[in-house]
Amino acid sequence: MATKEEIVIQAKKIMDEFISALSKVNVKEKFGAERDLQVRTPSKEVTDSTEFRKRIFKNAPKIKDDYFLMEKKEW
Amino acid sequence: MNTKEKLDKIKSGKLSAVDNVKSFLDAIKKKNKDINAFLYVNESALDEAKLIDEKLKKGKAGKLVGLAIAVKACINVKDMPISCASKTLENYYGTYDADVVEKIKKEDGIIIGITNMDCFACGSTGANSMFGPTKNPKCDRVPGGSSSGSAAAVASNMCDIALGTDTGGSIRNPASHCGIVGIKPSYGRVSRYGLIDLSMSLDQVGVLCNDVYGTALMMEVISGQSNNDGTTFNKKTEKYSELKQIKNVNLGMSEEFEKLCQDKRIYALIKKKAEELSKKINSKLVNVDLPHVNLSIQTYYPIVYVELYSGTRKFDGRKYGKKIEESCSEEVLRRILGGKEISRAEHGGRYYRKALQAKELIAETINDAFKKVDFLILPVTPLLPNKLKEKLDPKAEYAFDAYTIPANLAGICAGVVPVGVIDGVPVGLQIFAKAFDEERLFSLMNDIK
Repeated sequence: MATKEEIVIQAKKIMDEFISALSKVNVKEKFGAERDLQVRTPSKEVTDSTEFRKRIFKNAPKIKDDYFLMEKKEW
Repeated sequence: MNTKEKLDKIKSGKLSAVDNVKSFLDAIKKKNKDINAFLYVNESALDEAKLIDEKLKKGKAGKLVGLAIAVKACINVKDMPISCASKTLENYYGTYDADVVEKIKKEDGIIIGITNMDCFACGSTGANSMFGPTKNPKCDRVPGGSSSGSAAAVASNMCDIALGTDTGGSIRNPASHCGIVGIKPSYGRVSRYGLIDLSMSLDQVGVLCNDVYGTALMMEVISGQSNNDGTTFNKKTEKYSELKQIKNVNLGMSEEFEKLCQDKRIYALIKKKAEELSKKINSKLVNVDLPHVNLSIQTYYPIVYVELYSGTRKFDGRKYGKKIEESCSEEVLRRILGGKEISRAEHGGRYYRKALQAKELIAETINDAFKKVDFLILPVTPLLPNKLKEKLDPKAEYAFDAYTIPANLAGICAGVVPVGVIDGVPVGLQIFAKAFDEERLFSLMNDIK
């Protein structure tokens, strides 16, 4: 079996060859899979996290001092 | 005995479900050591058959009553090992039934075992399983993949019907090499809930069987919208197994496909059979232009590399035993590492986005062709399968998918029927039909017997 490094180089070479073949084709700029709504625009920074902290502590199954304990499947 | 005759016998009490299952268990015992089609055999199958015989005596029988069904090792069956033929998941047992399995059980089919495959469905030879390659029961070549075990189990009469999955030809390729019938349904026709995915935008669960009737009947059972799978469509599931008469349609063949054929004997055989079929059903056989289909392989693999990389991040060794990168086949590792690499280099949409755009273009090309013809006829592979010990380099192996990938890219349905033998190797004929035109596809497949 080839080493990981060799496999990466080989895979990248194959992908570059394939994509180079596709570059000769005129494709539509916009297509079905793209939706403007999927683009996230940065919102204002949230400075007051007290509410969030209260809510998450309320939901936590186990709390110790100022942190909560997580157990698999208990949340 | 074909599937219809067998079902009639079971329903009329001339053959019991127990005797049917027992004959297959005996066949598995005798042949599987050599063929390696099954990774697991259901020890409770006989008990389940007994219950079905009792149900039959009370006059209740589902559509698949007493039939022995094999399931590919990437589809969840409760309490059976669903390893994807990998060491990563070798200790994983299905914790629930996939939608398709639930439907089979509801119709009184009996899951007889879990079949071998190319590791994580990456491959088209059947030689990439971490539990040893599957042998082709019909000749000295590879059985094809990735649903190698399912095809070999059907072809060697170790089950009645098998489930496989098809992302770029993984049902149709082994169906052709093993001389049986196979179908890849339209994207969204069959629920994928419970399937361990290879490429989420292309995968479909489909069927392999020795005859068209059995394939159509199973499709009737597993088709339909599911609340568990948002990609399924609310389309009416017709009675595919009625296999109606088809006449006066337009059949298409394409010079673009002919150019891709590396073994001209294959194309000559398919052309001859297409001409015979067109005469038989009083239909025209015309040439259609399919620009860009020659770029299907180049379009498909970047999508698969990226989606496999993304879809396998859950196999990080914490929840499912072993880390995939340390326990998979070389081909899986190539796709994962390659997918990781090109995802990193994705700035400006160089790889995945470009491939998705080309996918749309090829889909458009094929759908345009369906404005002129009802069906497209083509080979399944451009050359005969290699011998089991002959190792192919990745690009040579990918070349086998040239004729099957376009159907996945376009989301249409495609079926394969055996039509001849070249150098002792079975050769299948492939039919493309419009998305959700399975009913007519099965009818046409039935005409090529």
